[in-house]
Amino acid sequence: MVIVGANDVPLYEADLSAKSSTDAGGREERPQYLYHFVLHAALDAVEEAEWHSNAMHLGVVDRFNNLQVSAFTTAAHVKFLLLHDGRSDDLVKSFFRDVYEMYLRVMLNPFHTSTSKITAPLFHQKVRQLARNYFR
Amino acid sequence: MEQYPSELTSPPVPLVALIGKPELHPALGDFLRSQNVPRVHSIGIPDAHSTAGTFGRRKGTPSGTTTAGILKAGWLRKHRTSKPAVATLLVDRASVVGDPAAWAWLVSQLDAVKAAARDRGARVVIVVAQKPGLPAAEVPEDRVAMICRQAGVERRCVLNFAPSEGLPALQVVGKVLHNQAVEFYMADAQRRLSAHTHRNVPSTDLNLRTAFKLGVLAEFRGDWAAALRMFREAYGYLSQVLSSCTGQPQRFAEVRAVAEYVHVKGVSLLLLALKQLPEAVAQFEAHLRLFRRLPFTPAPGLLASHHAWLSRQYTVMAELVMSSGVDRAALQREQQPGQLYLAAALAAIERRKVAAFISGMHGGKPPSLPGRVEPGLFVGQLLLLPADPAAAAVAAGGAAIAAALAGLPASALAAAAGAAKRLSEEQYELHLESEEGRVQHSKATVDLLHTAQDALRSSGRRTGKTLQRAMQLLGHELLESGNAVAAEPHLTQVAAFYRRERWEAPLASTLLLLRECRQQEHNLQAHTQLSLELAALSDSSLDAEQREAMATAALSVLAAGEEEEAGGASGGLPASQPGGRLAELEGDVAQQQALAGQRGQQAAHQQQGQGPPETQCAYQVTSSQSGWLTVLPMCAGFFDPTHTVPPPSPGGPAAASGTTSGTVRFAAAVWNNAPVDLPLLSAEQQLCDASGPFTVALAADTAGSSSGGDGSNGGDSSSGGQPAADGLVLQAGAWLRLSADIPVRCSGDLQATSLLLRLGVGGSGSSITFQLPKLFAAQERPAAAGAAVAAPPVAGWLRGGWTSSRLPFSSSAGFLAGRCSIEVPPQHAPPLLVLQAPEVLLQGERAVVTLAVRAAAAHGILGSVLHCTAVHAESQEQLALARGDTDAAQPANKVQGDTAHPAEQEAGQEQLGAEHAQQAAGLQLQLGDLAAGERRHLVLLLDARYRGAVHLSADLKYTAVTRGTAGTGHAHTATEAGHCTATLAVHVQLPWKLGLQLLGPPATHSLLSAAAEPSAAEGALGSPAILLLDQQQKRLQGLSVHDAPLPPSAASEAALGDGAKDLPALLLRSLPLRLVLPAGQRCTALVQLQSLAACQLDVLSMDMEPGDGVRLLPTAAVASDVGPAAVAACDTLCRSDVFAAAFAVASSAEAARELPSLGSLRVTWRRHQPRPVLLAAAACGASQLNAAAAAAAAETETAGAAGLGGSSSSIGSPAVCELLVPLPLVSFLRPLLTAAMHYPAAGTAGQPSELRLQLRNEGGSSQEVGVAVGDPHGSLLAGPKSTRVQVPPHSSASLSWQAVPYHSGPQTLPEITVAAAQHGQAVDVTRGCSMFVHRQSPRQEVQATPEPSMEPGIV
Repeated sequence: MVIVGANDVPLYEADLSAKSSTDAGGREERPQYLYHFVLHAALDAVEEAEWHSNAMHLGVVDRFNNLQVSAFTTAAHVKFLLLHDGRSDDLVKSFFRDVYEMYLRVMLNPFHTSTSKITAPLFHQKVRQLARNYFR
Repeated sequence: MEQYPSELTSPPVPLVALIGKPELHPALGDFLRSQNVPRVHSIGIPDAHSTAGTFGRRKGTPSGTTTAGILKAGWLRKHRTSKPAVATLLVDRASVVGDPAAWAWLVSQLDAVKAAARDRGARVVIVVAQKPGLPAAEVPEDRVAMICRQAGVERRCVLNFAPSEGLPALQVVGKVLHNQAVEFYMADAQRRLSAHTHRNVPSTDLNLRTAFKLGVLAEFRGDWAAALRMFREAYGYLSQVLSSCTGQPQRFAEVRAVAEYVHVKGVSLLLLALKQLPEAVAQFEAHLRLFRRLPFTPAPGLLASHHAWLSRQYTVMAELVMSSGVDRAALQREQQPGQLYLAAALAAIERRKVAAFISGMHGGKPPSLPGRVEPGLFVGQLLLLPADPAAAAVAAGGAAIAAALAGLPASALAAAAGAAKRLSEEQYELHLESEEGRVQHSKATVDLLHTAQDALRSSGRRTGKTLQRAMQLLGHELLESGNAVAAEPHLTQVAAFYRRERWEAPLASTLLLLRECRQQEHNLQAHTQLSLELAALSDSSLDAEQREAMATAALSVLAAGEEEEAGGASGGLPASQPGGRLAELEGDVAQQQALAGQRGQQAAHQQQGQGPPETQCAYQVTSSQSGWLTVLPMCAGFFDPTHTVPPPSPGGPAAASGTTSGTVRFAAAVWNNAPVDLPLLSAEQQLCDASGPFTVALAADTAGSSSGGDGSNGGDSSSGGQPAADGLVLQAGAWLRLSADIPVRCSGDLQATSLLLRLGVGGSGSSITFQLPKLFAAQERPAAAGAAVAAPPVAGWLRGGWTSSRLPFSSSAGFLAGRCSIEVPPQHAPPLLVLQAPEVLLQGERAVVTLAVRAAAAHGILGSVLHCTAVHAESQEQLALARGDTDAAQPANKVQGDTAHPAEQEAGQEQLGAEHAQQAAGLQLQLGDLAAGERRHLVLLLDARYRGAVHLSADLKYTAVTRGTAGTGHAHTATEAGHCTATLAVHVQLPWKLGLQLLGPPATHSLLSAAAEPSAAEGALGSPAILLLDQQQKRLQGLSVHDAPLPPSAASEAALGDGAKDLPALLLRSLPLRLVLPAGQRCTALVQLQSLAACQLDVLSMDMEPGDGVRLLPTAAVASDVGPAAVAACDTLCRSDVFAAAFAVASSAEAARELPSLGSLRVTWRRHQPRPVLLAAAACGASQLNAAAAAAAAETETAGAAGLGGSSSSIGSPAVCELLVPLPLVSFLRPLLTAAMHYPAAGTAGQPSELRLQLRNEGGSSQEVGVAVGDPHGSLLAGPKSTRVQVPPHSSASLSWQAVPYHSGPQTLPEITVAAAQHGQAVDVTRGCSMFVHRQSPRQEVQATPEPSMEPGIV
């Protein structure tokens, strides 16, 4: 999952797959770089979909082999992208809505700016928990 | 689509056989193939008895279920090319209606064809052909019935064909043949379906085969819906077939090939024939869903062939979508052709990777098989033939020939003969692996990527980021193919894009490739930078240890000395790398060692040639997309020199934070994203002011906590307080704050041009130059920016959490982040410069511009130089400026007070007189030194040549002596360069509007004028001369007409030519290009001069200078009577006043002549008021005073100048201006036919007066003149009322009237119109003529009274 700012700059990245975990050295899990290419290219589709829908949840905007990219956009053009293997759109929509709530709480932090990367461990844990709840 | 045979990519066409009469085959075959609708293909058989075997034999009903394959490889081609559906027998009409022998021959032909076609059920059509050229003749019905009975066909299958009837006859034949073919294919389909239904044991393979064949037969018939239905049914069996081939690679490959056949047929039908794009896309997705993943773990060869198969599916689908011409707007993004090509390229890349693995498995050599592999009898099957083809051919024997005739592939011949055999699974895998070794993978992939890029660009959708992905893949493939030079620009562009959008993983992947390009190019400098940038990307595919090792190795190359070299060798990359380039990075340790060796060689060269080594690599950071800003993001700026820090205690003095006495503070902070510390040799800041560039050394800002915003957050490498002499260190993940107090050399703009960091340890290293104006160009903001800054103006990619996003220096201390240019206030009291010019300048005059310079009371100035320019705004042309006070008796500069030494005054005078020179770029005056409070006045003359806005500028450069306590705290004396600039915009107006009228001679009217060359015009040329006369006459008529004044316009100026801009008068009259005046006669030029200026003007004189061939005649001036050719006056004109003058001109010769100009008009004028209203601009130092302050300063300086008695006299006498206006071209022509009216100036009422009309013909032919009398205007007229007079050549004629006026007073003459009948020209000869009629005396009244009873004297 990637949260992308208004200038298409990634603000948050996380690998929510089951096999990803935090290693003993405390290093964050790293999404495979190939998926970053897919997600980055999917921003073209998100920009197109934003003009064709009034909803924040844009649904599946792109596909790569058997993977799908679902998108969710905020009023400030911050985009949530999720690369998955064909999960239910309702589940993805609920997941995005909950992540959006948490994102808003991060934005309420007076020390956080809209262009800063989200590095809060609590946010990361909650996103992972949401992913576990919805997709497993 | 080139990968498929033609029978798969195009719909099948019915095939018929033309038998007999070969001479008719070309015409009939061409028509059926190209013109008949629908098309029909044909094969020709010359003789009916040669048709045996042409139509084939019908197979027996199959009973078993075991099949060797699914689809026969040559079945489709066989039915399209060699198995006709209709046997068309062409016979002569003569053989039908002829003798019994001919009939017997016909019957034998019918029997042969019937026997050949019977077994397969082919239709038979008999075409009775007439002889060419003969009209169509009926065939007797009895013969037709006999033919039908003999051939066993219906009546409609016997045609009478007459080639002479042309296209209609051919259409009849084509229609019948197509109908019969359709019936055949329908019957064949029904037969096959029936046979399949009667099979006892169901077989999925046979179901699939039957459905596919039924679909093809429906295509033969043109029944697209049925064909599509059957193809879908066939494809539906594939999932069942596929489930049965687990662990059988050959079987899977066969099923996959059959699926590709059926899929291509179905999608082609949907897209090309039915135009159903959504259904086609759905079929494509189902196809890929079924076959994308292999149902078992494949061997490498099968995996590579599967990637090739996937790539082909994407490519063919993209080609079909693009060639179908359907609207692609409804397509989803991943179904666009560009995306399909990109997917095909990705599959091809995967294939290339597997192929590389296979090549590595076999040591770079393709594996060999004990025979030759050829396509088998069924689609997707392969057969192994013996290595010796001759042995295979011999073994095939006669059965091979039969198979060749059936259209089977070569291997099928051997298979039929038992010489070939199926491959084992191991042989099949070996064959696939050997096939991969023969393919140029990179070239195919690069071609696909180029195609994908073109399709994406032309798709009309948002594809910017997808294009970057495609470009990255293209660069990767070019690099894989060994073309690093071609790959480098692509990868550089992609890296810049990802850098801008800050996607670290794609950027790291691209940088790895780009780094390898640089390594292949042996570009050590760029390779080192990329290594450091890769190490700085924390979210890349490298782990922390790898990044640190890479950064250490790069740092060892950057730094100099043996110890760094050793560190570079030891700091190689680990053996394993994540991501897709594991194998490529295996040898990175050796690569770093090689690069370090190259660096050592370069250092050795430097030591040999240049002595001690200096910086090895010089990096320039010139844009915000540079990779160095990923490693070292930075923030820089000046401190506000006007900012004051609040006193620490109440009552304490406020201190300026941005500047101490004589210094300006600059600060820069550099963040280190690299995982290792970077030692610095030095840090320098290059600056530029009005005196030129200079450099200052930056030191660690040990007082950073006082000015920095986060000095206590731990992210500050300057907290250690390392002095500059001991070296600086860019600590990983921390700011390094640098600052310097810059001594002020001169006031004005001070710009920080570049920041130079020298990396290294010891005496040498590499340098990085940050071009600050380019880095902060987009972030430049005014000094008065608000305190709350949303994002700090940091150039580069800053990490480190929210604390690092704060400004490295406190804005409350006056730090202007991103400000690389600042206005330095002067450290001395600047002089005052006042510039004055008239509010309104008049074009053509030399306007007086005054300048005043006054040194401040506290500071004198040295070596002052004044540079003055005047630029015309419209044309950007420099206007001439000259000194107006160069009179030796009246020196311009007076020394005020007694402070200046007399010797200095003399030296200054000499310098002023000798060194002032007018240059092309303006006027430069050396004013020399001015003591404190000294005042100087200068008068300049501006040549106001052009109208419009003129920008006046005066720039004073000087050196001031300052006394300050900068640095040490002791008082010292220093010099400071300064400058004052005063600018003024004035407007140059047009002073005059000149009207010019040319009048012909009074009382003489030229009906006709001669041409310029009378000898050519008269007689000899006839009508051309007359035409020319007409044209000239029209011009002549215009002479006596007063033109209305035209408004000034660009058109009128353009009529005056290029000199119009220089002409300070607007010539109102739009005169014709060439004026025509009568030669030898008195003409009048009436000049009207109107003032346009907003001030009063004096006209001193107005002269007319006649041109060559023109003479001035004595006349009375309208405004003055000074002389015949000059009007002297000293009239004062206000705005819109008109000054008029008239000049009498005539040609100096009687002959016709064309003159270049009538002459010129010279007007002398000047301003009436000696002191016009002045505009003023003033500057004190670098700051311009506002209008009110400038006016007050100008008044003060003017009063001071008047007190000195300096240049005021120059202002008091307005300059005399002279205006020379060229007059237009003129032609003096001799009149051919003139009419002059003679009449008395006065008469008496009741008394007759004679009116005489004198006609004169100067031409060579007789002219007929019509004379008509109109209104007598209060007179009784005696004489001809209307008459015609013939005037002989070179002679005169006259007419006279007796006019008796019966009113006294001024009286208009009767209207008399004279017309030249031949040319239609007429003139009213009495127009404007009048006489004064006296009252009749009483005695004359009595005498004239017929009746004595009437009283005399009564009028």
